[in-house]
Amino acid sequence: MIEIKDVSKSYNKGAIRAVDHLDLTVNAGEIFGFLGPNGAGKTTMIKMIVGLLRPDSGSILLNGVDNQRDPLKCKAMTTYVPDNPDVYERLKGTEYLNFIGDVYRVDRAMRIERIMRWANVFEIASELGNPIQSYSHGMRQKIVLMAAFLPEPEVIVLDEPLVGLDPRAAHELKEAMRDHCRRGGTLFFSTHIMEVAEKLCDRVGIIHRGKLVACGTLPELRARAGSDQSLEGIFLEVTEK
Amino acid sequence: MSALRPLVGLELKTNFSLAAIWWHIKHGENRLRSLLIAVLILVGLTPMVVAFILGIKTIYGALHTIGQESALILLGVIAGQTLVFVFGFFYVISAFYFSNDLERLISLPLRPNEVVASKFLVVIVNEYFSIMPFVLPVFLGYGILAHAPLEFWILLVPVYLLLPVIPLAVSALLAIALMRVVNLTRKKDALIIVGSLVLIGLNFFIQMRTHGESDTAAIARLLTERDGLVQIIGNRFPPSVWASRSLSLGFSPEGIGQLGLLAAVSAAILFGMVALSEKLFYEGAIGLSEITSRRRKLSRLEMERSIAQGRGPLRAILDREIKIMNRTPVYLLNGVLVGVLVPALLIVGVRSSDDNPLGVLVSAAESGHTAVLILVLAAFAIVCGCMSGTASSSFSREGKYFWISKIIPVSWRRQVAAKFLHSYLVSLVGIVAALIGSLVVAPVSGPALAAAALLSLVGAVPLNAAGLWIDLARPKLKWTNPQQAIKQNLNVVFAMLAGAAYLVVCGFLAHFLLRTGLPGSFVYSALLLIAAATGWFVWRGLMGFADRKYPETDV
Repeated sequence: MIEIKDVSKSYNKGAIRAVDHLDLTVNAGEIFGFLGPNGAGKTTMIKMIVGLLRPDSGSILLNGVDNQRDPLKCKAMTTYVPDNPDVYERLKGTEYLNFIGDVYRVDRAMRIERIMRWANVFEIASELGNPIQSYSHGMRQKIVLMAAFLPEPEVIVLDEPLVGLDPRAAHELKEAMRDHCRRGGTLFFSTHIMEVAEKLCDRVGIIHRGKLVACGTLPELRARAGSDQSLEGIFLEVTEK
Repeated sequence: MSALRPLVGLELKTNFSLAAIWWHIKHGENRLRSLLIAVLILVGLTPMVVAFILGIKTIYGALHTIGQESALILLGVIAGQTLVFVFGFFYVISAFYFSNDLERLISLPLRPNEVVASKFLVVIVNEYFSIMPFVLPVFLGYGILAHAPLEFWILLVPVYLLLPVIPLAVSALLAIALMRVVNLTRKKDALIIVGSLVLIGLNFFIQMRTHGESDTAAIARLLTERDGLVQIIGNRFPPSVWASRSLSLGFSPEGIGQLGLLAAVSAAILFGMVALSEKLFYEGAIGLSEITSRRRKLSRLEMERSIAQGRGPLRAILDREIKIMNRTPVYLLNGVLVGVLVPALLIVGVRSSDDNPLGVLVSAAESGHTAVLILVLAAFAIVCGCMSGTASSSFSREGKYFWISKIIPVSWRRQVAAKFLHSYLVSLVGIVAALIGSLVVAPVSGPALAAAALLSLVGAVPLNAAGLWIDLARPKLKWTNPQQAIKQNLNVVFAMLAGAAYLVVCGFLAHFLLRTGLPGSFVYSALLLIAAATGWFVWRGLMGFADRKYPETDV
């Protein structure tokens, strides 16, 4: 469960307000889609959830634990996939996954089983022994995703995870996201692909100029819009100005 | 219109982050703090500057008594050109071949020689700044002490500008040739490292061996000629003599001739290098970043073998640091191998020289000044072990990958401890190399060597911890080329200056204590205690600082 309470974050001495008094709760077992135009504050919000940025005000609780007061406990239950799959290029795929397994304390038997499984799912088994430097963008994205699913955390936060994935890998990822939530986990992800959000998410939130301008299930959003629009239509309407 | 001008402008702006600096001057939140840091650094440097000035004054006085004061200029020139050659070689390789903009530049309608010329200019501008602290004080010291005429000050400008051209152009020539060969092979990284070391060692050896002069001839020259010492020292590398003599002879026809010779040879080698680059540069650069990989599915057994046994986070981070450092040629060369290179060059230099230039050390060892010998050895070992920039670029090297360190569930203190262990291991390599090197060139007894080893091992603690502290205070996480994280990182310079200041203060203290007649063993124990205490305090401070600084470091 993720609870975002009155969180604000600004840059450049307050001149740019990236996130403006945002309140939001994402329940356990829920896939939450976070939408918004470029520069709306999505990545800033995500970075605050995973502890990469500190909010100017407000608090973020992961399963009831404040991520500013007890960051280690929060990190132990969260994994994150950034919008750019920047991972240590000089390490081999297995070495990076080992590193993640070590710091999240995944025991060896589990590690072998999960790495084998995910390597097959993402069709990357033949590349794991090679340096990440030799990977294509899509393969890097796959290794970052594998690292995020490896510890089987309670909360997974993904920033545009489908970018660069081939259709089969994208399909497998969506299945994995559903599986994670079926097991009671929480999944928070941002995307620009409306169809994906529409089909995959239990609820969506739309952020515009740092403020949450719409939030709910698709029927709830449609009811509020007063029309039977698609998510794209709703998105265009609430982010028009 | 030639594309060179805009290209040079762009390269200079990118490499020196001019746009970012200007933005920070205009919008930065911590202008006052930056100013305070600058003042603190200047204050911290004072003991070192004082020691340097005193050293220059002493050398000038000694040379003056034998009428060879112009040799001081030569010492400055040689120091600058040696620094440029040894460190410039690595710099040229990474700037020419490993900058992130290379692939974009190759795709533009630019000639290879234009790309090389623009990158060479960036490197040389950097070298002007790099050699400044070592060379300018010597020139200024000579000018003031010798009451040099106006022409000396005027000529100083062209001489300083020409100083790094020949060694850097030679480095670039060798680098272009080496990379052409490297690009034909699969083990590119390994070949770059081995090839670089072999070429530097070979060049150094050749310079030490050529133009040698017998002792009798050298003494005769010293006694009969005004700048005989300049000729003796500089005949191993003539451009040093040309630069030095053009300054000492001023506007006289001979002086102008020497400057003309320096300029002509510099231009010839530079144009030769640029011309050669037209043929060879792209052949060495294109496809260099391509990594050949095996595409074979790992069997369950192979997978099981490659999965680690579940190490603790400290060990995992240490392992990550070691692997990334050792597998990135720029880091390995500038971080680890520099500490080995200096003692290795020392051995090559001494072994290939007819007379032992470390006569002072040898005579100290022979005349029973064991304490002095131990302290000098320990200082040398600490310099080789700790001046590499491994600690002081530890956070900066993470660059765009720093997000991983921020999200993993490992405490800041433990992450810093792993980084400390890594930089300390690198120091250990340098210290061992330095002590072995010393053993080869000077007769050092076992106990003296052990005492020097202990002092250097303890002394390396505060220097490594301070290096980490300095880098953590302002990590340079935005870089486009890994060399910017270690070679163009001011944190490395600050840490080196802080380390040098620390050593100078300890040196002064040792000198003072020994002059008061205290026994050598007492002085040694005092320094050991000071090093241990400083280490403890800096370590404690670093841990507290990590708790505060890590969370506020934005990626």
